[in-house]
Parts: sequence; structure tokens; C-alpha cells
Amino acid sequence: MEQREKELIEYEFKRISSIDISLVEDFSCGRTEFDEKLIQMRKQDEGTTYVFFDNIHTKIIGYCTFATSGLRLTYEKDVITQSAAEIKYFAISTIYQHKNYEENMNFSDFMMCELIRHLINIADNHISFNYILLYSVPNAINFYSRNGFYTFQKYMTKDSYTYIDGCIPMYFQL
Amino acid sequence: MAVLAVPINKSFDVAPDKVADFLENTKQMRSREIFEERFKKLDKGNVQWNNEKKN
Repeated sequence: MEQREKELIEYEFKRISSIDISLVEDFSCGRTEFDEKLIQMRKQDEGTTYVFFDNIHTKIIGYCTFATSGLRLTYEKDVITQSAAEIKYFAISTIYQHKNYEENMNFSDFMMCELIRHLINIADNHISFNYILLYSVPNAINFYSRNGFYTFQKYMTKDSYTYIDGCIPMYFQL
Repeated sequence: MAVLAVPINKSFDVAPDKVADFLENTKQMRSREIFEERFKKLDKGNVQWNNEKKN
């Protein structure tokens, strides 16, 4: 049986405001605009931003930002808005990309698991909402599908659904 | 893949002729069950990872 090198990663899920700015500036996900966005959100958050922090190597593994949102059911003469949380950003450091926990489970899946756990806790104990929404980048559709998300565009009116750089709206029912 | 979700200022509206279909399909989803299983399986905060990167 193949022996694979193991590495212990002891991590915490922490608010961005608690992270030293020098560590935030060291973060790189390979897309400069998203690295800069994290620095900006350390100063002024655009929602609620959490980082996955590696306590052993003192590095940011990845980050996510979520905010309140709504999913609208449009009837002929009425609109009902169901409450939701929207994941605005979800990015992982180049250092931690593709590290796998077990077959078919990368660190990004584990990060998503922690984020969903956190959102379920909010929905169950603090402020109720029914859905988690997000726009997936094109290459991440399979990642979200295996994490319980479904594509949403088939329910939208054609004129309201526009591809923006190929990003796909997805939803998760709580 | 570095970035998995991006912010787009576009609302999530279900079209009038698709509301019934949406609600029916949503009833059958098992999204939360998938995670309830994972929560049981994974120890929070202290995990050994394979250090070898998959490409």
C-alpha cells in the first residue's frame, strides 16, 4: 500500500479583524485582485469575512466572505423573498491548493465544511434563513456540486440570467 | 483553483412559471444531510493532510 507523507495542520476559523495585517499581506491565492480585496476587507469588511488560519505555520490558508441576501419567488402578481446568506468570496492560498484529506476531499472541501457548519449554526441559533447562495467560477461547479449545491439558472427568467465571465449561480437549501 | 466564488450583484429570482418546479425539487434536496455526515466524521481543528499535491 502506498505510504504518503502526512503533515499536521492545526487550524482555526477566525474573523479577519483578529489577524495581523502582515499575515494578511502575505496571503496569495494567485489572483492579485482577490489578495488585495482581503487586505481591503481587513480594514473595511464588505460582509463578514473569516479566514482559515494555520496555527503551526502561521499562515492564512484561505478566506470567505458572506453577507445577507434573498431568494425571490416571483409569482404573477406577487413576489415573496426567502431569506438567505450569500457567499461573496471563497478563495484558498496557492500553498494549500490541491492538498487532499482523503480521496475526493481537498482542503477546499474541508474549508467549505467549516463554513457551512458556521452558517448552519447562525441559521439554527441566531438569525434564520433558508438558503445559501453564491456565484461559482466556471471551474468550480463540480466542487460545489459535491458539496451539496445545485445550479440555479434553470429557474431564472432568460432575460434575468446573464453569464458574467461564465460564473454560475448556485444554491444550497438548509 | 484559487478562487471558487465571486461577488456578482445579481439577485436570485425564480421565474413565475418555474416557482412550482423549484419548490418541488428543493424538497428533495439532501444538501444538509451531506454535511451532517461530514460533521460527524471530521474532527474540527486538528487534521492530518496528505502533503503531496495532486495535479
